Amino acid sequence: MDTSENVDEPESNPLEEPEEDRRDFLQKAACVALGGVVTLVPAGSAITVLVSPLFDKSVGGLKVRLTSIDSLEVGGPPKLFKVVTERQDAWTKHHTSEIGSVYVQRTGQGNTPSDFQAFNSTCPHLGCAVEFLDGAEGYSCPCHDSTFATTGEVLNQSSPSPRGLDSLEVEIEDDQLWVIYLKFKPNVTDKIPVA
Amino acid sequence: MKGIFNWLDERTGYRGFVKDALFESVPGGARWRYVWGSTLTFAIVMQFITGIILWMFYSPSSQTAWESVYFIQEEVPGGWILRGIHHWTAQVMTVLLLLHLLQVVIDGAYRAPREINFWFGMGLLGITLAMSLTGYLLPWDQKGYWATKVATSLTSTVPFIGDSLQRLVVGGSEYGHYTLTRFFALHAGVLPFLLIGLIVGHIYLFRRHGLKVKQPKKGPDVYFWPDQILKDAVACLAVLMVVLVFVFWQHGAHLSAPANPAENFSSARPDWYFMFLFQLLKYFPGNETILGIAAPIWGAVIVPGALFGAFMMLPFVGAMKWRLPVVNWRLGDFCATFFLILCIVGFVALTYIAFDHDYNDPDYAPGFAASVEQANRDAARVKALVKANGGIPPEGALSLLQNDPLTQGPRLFASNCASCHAYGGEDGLGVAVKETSAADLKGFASREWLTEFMSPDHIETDKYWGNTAFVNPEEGDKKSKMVDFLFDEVAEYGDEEKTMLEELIVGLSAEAKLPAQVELDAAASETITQLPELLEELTCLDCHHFQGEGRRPDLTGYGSVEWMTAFIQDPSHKRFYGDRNDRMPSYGAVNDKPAKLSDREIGLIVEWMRTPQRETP
Repeated sequence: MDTSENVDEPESNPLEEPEEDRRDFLQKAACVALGGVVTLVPAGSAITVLVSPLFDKSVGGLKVRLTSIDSLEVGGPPKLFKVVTERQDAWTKHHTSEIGSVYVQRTGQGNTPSDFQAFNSTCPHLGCAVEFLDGAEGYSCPCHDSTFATTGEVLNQSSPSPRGLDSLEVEIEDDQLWVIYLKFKPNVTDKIPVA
Repeated sequence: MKGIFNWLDERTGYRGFVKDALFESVPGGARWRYVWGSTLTFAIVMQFITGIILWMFYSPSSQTAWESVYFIQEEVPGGWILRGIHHWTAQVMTVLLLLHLLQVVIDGAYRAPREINFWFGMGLLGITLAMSLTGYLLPWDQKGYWATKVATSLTSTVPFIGDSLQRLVVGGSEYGHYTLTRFFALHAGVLPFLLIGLIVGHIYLFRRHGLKVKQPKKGPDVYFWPDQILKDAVACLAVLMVVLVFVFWQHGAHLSAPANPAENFSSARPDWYFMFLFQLLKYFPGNETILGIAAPIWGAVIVPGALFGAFMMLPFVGAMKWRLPVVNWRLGDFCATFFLILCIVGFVALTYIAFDHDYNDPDYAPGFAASVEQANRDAARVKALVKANGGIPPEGALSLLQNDPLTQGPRLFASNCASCHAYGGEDGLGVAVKETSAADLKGFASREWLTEFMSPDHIETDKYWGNTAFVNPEEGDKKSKMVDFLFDEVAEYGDEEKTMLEELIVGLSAEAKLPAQVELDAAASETITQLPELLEELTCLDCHHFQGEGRRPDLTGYGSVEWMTAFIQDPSHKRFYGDRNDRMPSYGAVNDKPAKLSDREIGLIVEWMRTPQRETP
């Protein structure tokens, strides 16, 4: 509105001009100031609420029990497990909710965490769910044809995925297999955890 | 910079538009009485801004509406301010609309050639009220649910199409998901769309006819910018201040307990500006007819419709040019102003009568106040339950209240137990119980309760067995042996026996495992272990039994959850009173008779009775 200031100002008597101008200027300044206040209060509170998701910065690994280690064969193919946990979705508290899935393979002879390999089943490219293909001996993403070796590395160099599958930390307690479940930022070379 | 504006102006002509907007002539100088339209525009802009953001946080379904509004109000940073601004601006808007209407009629701005613009204004009034009505339901709380039910039931009184109309509005025969989705689509879609359309027409026509200048002029002509705009801006600031005062005073806007179709909410009222209609309905008894038409149709449809119709006719009334003698007042203006004042007086009077009835009528006000208090308690309680639960279960917040002993216990007690028992002299819900026929159960099995019960001074009072057959047997029957025992034995106790009785009470009370006595019980563990010997020595076991089969009533686990539950299920069971039961009915399923109360309900009563405080939200 203030862009059109002084458009078609009526010619005034030169003698009265300074007085008139000051009064006019003060009036306009007051308009702009008051207009600013009455706009900023509702708009400001609206924007604060609008961007409230940005205030929540929590990034945390969730420790989830997947299975007992006996259910995985030494040297067998990877098995898919659902990640079931308590989950808070805005106001709703879900006591059990499936929040994702994890591929686990028993690669070593022992019963230590290093004998197991776990991958988040989310494709690091753009978030589709990868599948383990028995015949192909590796993982493949049905969306954009990224392929991954059983070790998680990108198999076919023409794959659009910028990095290999995201491995997850494994823990063993009383013959039970746990993973620290995390999600990672898609479509970047580095593995960056996200909330 | 100037180049860019020139480029833009050549292609859009925006300078001419801005010039038209700002340099509208205000003949006779800027005046405060011209600010109402601008404050309304400002209020509407506020509603659009806050409404769209609220939209992003709102979820219209009967399991998520209250829950999402709760989250805005309690958890989202700044959410309560935003919701508060939206709520209170709506309230203030209604007042501004009335002031605008008043100014238009008094200044004669409704007359030719401005008739159509007056009708647009009346349309805007109607749409704004419809926005308020639809918005009131959206939080799906007890207040909005029951008040809106009244409004939608009214639509069914419309002749011929009423039932279909109600089904359309409600989205079916019952309130549910589709009621919310429909109301929300109206509130955030259809009505704002109509509102914008009418506002554009309203402002276009206003500009076409120019300001209706108040005579006599106070000064030279000025432009809208900046003289009138400054006054408008000050008025808008004042509106904002009023809104903010309410927002901070009320911490946003009130949210009552989640809607519960099974729980009537007798203090539900429409927003204050609909109270006159609410009151009007009371003057049209359901069983009478006026001119062959059922009275409720008059109250709900014909009278309000005629009133609105009369307002729409005002421009023609105002056209009467003949002037009243002496005061030299145009007859048209006189009639229109008189009609408006009459309407305002009627509005104020009906509103006053409605509120006066709720708050001051001696027959009605106490019940209303109790209902309001109960509603406020539930509202506070459900919030405490959500916080304690760390969130709301997927089935909705109502389930938290429905499974809460402190909420359901007193209600179940009031409707099932309070016809004989009192709880601290009340029915559980704060209403005094005047006549009882059995013991007051507040503090049942606590040390204090047992101490008084075991005393000849108290047992025959109304608070204990004073009104039971144990003290006043029917002819031919004898007093309870327990009462005889208290008067014949306990009354004669020496100091040593008195101490033993005190210790016995400590031990017996510990059987109840009352939550409030946990620490006291732990501190008295040695005394408590002597309970079996004390029962033996004070001859209690001549009549009662403790840990094992024997005579009744059973003192094992006396006052515990299990004992109380079994007792309420069947007090005539041989474990309790057997055939000496006075009048207490069995609430559980006994002898193939169906249960009066489910095990869950009995559990809620028991848990509540064992919790000392009723007030805790």
